[in-house]
Amino acid sequence: MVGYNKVVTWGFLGIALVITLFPIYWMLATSLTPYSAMFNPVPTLIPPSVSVEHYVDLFRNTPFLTFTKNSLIVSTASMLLSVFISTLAAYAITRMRLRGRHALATLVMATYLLPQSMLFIPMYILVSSLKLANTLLGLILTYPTFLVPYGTWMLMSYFKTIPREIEEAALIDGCSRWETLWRIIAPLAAPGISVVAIFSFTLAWDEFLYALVVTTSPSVQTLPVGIAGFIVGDIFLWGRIMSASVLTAMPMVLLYTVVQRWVVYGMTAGSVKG
Amino acid sequence: MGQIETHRLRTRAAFGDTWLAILLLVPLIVTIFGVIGLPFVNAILQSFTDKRVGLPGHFVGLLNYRELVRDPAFWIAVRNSAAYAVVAVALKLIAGFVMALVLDKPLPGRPLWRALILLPWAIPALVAALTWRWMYSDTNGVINSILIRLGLINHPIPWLAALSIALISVIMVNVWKGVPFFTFTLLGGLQSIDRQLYEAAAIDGATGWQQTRHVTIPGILPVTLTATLLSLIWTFNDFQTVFVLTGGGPGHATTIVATLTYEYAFWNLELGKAVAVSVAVAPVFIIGILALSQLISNGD
Repeated sequence: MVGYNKVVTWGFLGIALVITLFPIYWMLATSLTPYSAMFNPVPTLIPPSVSVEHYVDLFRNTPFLTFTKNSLIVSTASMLLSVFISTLAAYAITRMRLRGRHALATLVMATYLLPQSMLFIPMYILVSSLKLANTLLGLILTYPTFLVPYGTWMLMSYFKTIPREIEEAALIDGCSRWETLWRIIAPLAAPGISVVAIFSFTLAWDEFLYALVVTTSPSVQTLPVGIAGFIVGDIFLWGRIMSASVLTAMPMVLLYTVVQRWVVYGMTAGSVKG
Repeated sequence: MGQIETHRLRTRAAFGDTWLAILLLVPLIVTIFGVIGLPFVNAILQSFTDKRVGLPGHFVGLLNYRELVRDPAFWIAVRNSAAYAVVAVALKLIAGFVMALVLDKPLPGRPLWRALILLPWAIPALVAALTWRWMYSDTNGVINSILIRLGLINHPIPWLAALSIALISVIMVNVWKGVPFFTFTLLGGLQSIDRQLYEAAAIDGATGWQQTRHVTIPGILPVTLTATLLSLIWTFNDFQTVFVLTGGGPGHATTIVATLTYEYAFWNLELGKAVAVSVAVAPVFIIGILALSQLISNGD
C-alpha cells in the first residue's frame, strides 16, 4: 500500500513536471535554434546547433531595449507610487478610528476584484481626454488603479499582525502618529511592504491590456505590447519572439526563485492574481 | 500600562486623529473614485451615446443595448466566456488539488519540485500565450510534430484555427498558467490543518480516504471556495490569453466578452457600443465581487 502510494505520487509529480516545464524548455530551445534550422520539415526536440543570432537580431533590429527601458520606468514608478499610497491607507484603515472604515475596507477589496477588462474602455476614454494617451505618464497613472487596491488590501492584513501595544507605547512616549507610522510601524511592516512592492512591480511588468490601448508607438510601448507587436500579419519570426519572451520572463523567474517563500505567503494572505 | 490610561489614550487618539486619518486616506479615495469610479460612471453615460473614437457622441438612448441583444456575437461571447471560465477553473481546481496533495508529502527534493511547479505562475501571461501559440502552430509546431512522430496523427491539427477545438486549445493555456495558483493556495490550506486531527482520526480507525473526506476536505474548504470564486472572475475576463492566441477567431469561436469589447472599440471604433458590453455584464460581476469580498472579510 505504501509502495503503491509512492508510485502514484511520483507518477503525478513526473507528469506535472513534464507538462509544466516543456513549454518553458521549448521557448528557450527555440530562442537558441539557428534561423537556418527553424523551418526544418521535422523539428527536433533538441536544437541541431546552438546560436544566439535571434538575440543579436532582437537588439540590432528591434526596439527591444526601448521596450525594456519603458517597462522598467513604468513598473518602478507605478510601484513606488502605489506602495506609498497603500501604506498610508492601510495604516489609517487598520489603526485609526474612523467611521466607515469597514465599508472602505470592503470597497478596497471590491475595487481590487473588479476585472481590468471591464475598465479598459473607460480608462482609455479618461486617459485620452487628459491628453495622456501614448505617453509613459499615462501608464504610470493608470497602473495604480489596480495596484493600490491590491496593495492596500495586502497591507491591511499585514498591519493587523503587528501588536497594538508597541504603537501605544510609542504614543505614550510622546511620539506623534506620523512619527509612529514611519519610525515604528513601517520598519516592523517592512517584510509585508517588500512583498507588496515585489508583486506590484510584477503586476505592472506583466500588464498587457491597458498598455495595449493606451500606447500606440514603439517609443512608449512596454515589453508585453512591444513583443506582441512582433507578430505582424502571417509572418511569424518565432526565433525573435521567443528570445524576447525569454528575456522578459527571466527577471520574473529569478525574482520568484529567490523569494519563493514570500510568494506562497502572498498568495494565501492576499490572493495574488492567478 | 493601566486600563484607564489605555482608554484615555485611545479616546485622545480617536479625536485628534480623525483629520490625520482622512489625510492618509485621500490618495486612496482619489484613486478609487477619481480614477475608477468616475470613468465608470462616465462609461455608463457613454453607453447611451453613439460615440466613436475621436468624435463626440450624441445621445441615442438604449440603441446600443438593443443592437447588442440582437448581435449574435454578443451571445456567443457570453456563452464562450462562461464555458471558458467554468471549464478552465474546474480543470485548474482538480489539477491544483492533486498537486497540493503531492507537494504536501515529504518527498526528497521537495523544495526544488515546489519551485519548478510554481514556474508557470511566474511567467508573464503574454509570454505564456506566445509560447503556446508557437507550440500549437500547424506549420512546424512542436505539439503536432510530437504527435505525428508518435504515430497518433497523420496530419497536423490546426489547434487554434479549427472551429471545434480552438476554444479548448485556448483554455488549456489558461489552465497551464493557472494551476500553480490553486496548487499553492490549497497547499497553504493543507498546511494550516492541525496535524493532531489526523492522529485523532487515525486512532479512531479512519482509513486514508476517510481522513481525506472528513479532515482534509473540510479543512481546506474555505480557502478553496475563495480561490475558486477569485479564479472564476479573473478567468472570465482573461483577455490577453485569448487576444494573443486567436484574437477571438476563427470567426467568433473563441470570442469572449473582453475581446468582443476590444473588437467593437478598436476594430469597429464604436466606443459607445463597446462600453455597453461592459455595462451589460457588470451586474453579474458586482454581485459576485460583493459576495466574495464579504466572504473574505468575514474570514479575517
